Amino acid sequence: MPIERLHRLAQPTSLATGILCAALCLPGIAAARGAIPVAVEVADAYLELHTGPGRGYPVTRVIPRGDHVEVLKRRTDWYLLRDDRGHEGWAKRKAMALTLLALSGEKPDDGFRTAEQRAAASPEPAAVASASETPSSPMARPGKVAGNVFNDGSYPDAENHHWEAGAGAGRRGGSKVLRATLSYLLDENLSVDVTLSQVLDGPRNEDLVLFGLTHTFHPEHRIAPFVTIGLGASRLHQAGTLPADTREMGYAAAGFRVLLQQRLMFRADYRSFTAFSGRGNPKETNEWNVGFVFLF
Amino acid sequence: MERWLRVLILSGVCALSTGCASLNLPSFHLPFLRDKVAGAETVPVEETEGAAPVAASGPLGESPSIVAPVVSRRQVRQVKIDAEDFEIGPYMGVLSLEEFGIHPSYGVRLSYHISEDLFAEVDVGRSKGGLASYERLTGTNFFPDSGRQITYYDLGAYYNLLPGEVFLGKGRALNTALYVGGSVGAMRFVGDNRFTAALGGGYRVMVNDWLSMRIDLRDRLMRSPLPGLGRASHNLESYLGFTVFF
Repeated sequence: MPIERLHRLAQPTSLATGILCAALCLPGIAAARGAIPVAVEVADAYLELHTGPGRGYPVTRVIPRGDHVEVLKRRTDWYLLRDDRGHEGWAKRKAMALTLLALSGEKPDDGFRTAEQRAAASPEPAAVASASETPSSPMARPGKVAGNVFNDGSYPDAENHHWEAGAGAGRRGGSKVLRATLSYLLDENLSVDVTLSQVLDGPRNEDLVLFGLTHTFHPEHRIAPFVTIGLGASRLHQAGTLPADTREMGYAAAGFRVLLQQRLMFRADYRSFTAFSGRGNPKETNEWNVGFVFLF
Repeated sequence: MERWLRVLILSGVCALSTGCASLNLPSFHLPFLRDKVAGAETVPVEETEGAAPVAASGPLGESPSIVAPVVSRRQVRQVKIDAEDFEIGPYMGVLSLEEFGIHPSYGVRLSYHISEDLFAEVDVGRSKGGLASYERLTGTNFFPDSGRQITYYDLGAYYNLLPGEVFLGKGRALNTALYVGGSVGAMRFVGDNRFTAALGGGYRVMVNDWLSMRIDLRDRLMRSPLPGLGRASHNLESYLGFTVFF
């Protein structure tokens, strides 16, 4: 992002007003979070409720099989549950595998699966229908649980996530490069990307905006190579006697990504840029970049 | 461009073309086609509501009464549990810019929690720099006053190293986490943008399950703005803020 624009946006009055508005909006954002809780019957042998959404937080309550709980919210892989006595606690998604299976017909999976693999692994429709047969309880809300398919938010799944965001740093010639990318997955292999980049600490600072099309080979593998082609524009800052300049450019890149966690990937690539317009040299530049990408 | 790179890129383009050709449209996840993806959003469930006797003629002219089920399709809606993986909020603190003094800073941050251990964060902040010691000694302004405003942004990743609890009195415990990490970004100061790399961490206290208070400390390293100093400058910033999970 051109930091000059950010600089203008961040004038003392505008940024202070923005921060004040953000502070005033906090209760509003919090109030808007609310969603209808889903009542479920515990199908696992037992559920341990932790005081926080993390494995290190102590267990304060154990819910036996057959009891009913309300699912209030999810944070990463943890669900906030409320039992029928009103006690709340966090349970890990893995510990709720059977409960989720009974509701959604899907078993949470830690591996990356393509749509085909997911379809092949999905259970019979009867399991889905069982969601509508969840036994009623004092907490169950007919019409809310019954007839609904539970979305457990498991990641990463080619059908469940369409967006990727990432940031990285690298070198171009003698300059340092910062990059932030947002991608939309059209398919398991294809994605469209928009990239904002800054070239800093070199002979000439530069801001870039790039639009690319990326093809990932074997996205189901932990390590997957990819190629990208794209177009973009670059604004070169004034430096000494050199005036500011704008260039249109095309680029091609090749790289690989490594799935580190369910929603986190390491990414490295090498890009070659060719300027179509603008004054001066160089017309062709190369860049390498490493960074991280997360899926959401 | 080197020859080998051209060959590599052309190979990539060829492979890309074949990938496009093998696209299977029904599973193509464009928003307007999503309804066509079986089971992606809705799951039709057959439901027998009743049975109606229907008279039908057999091949031998008999008319046995058979039962034909009346089936209506019911659309099953997906229930989405409220997911709170994002965190946003303002902060205020002080930035100690090496050679340029200590001044108040303020900004906003947006975090995305990737897992219970990791989160990514974007910070945008603002502060200002004072006179450099050299300027104070000589009584000259080396940089224009208008350029002493500081605007910075950071893209970072942090690890919840020490999750835990703090206890308020006998009956109240608040969840906490000590996190550490690093970030890269840029800082605009005295008319120039500089690459920054920051290391640091912070302490998060969850006031309840959606509101947190955070105290942070960062060391922002960048090329010194003073000409002739080829070394990196260490710029410490500490700040306090509130965030909301949504």
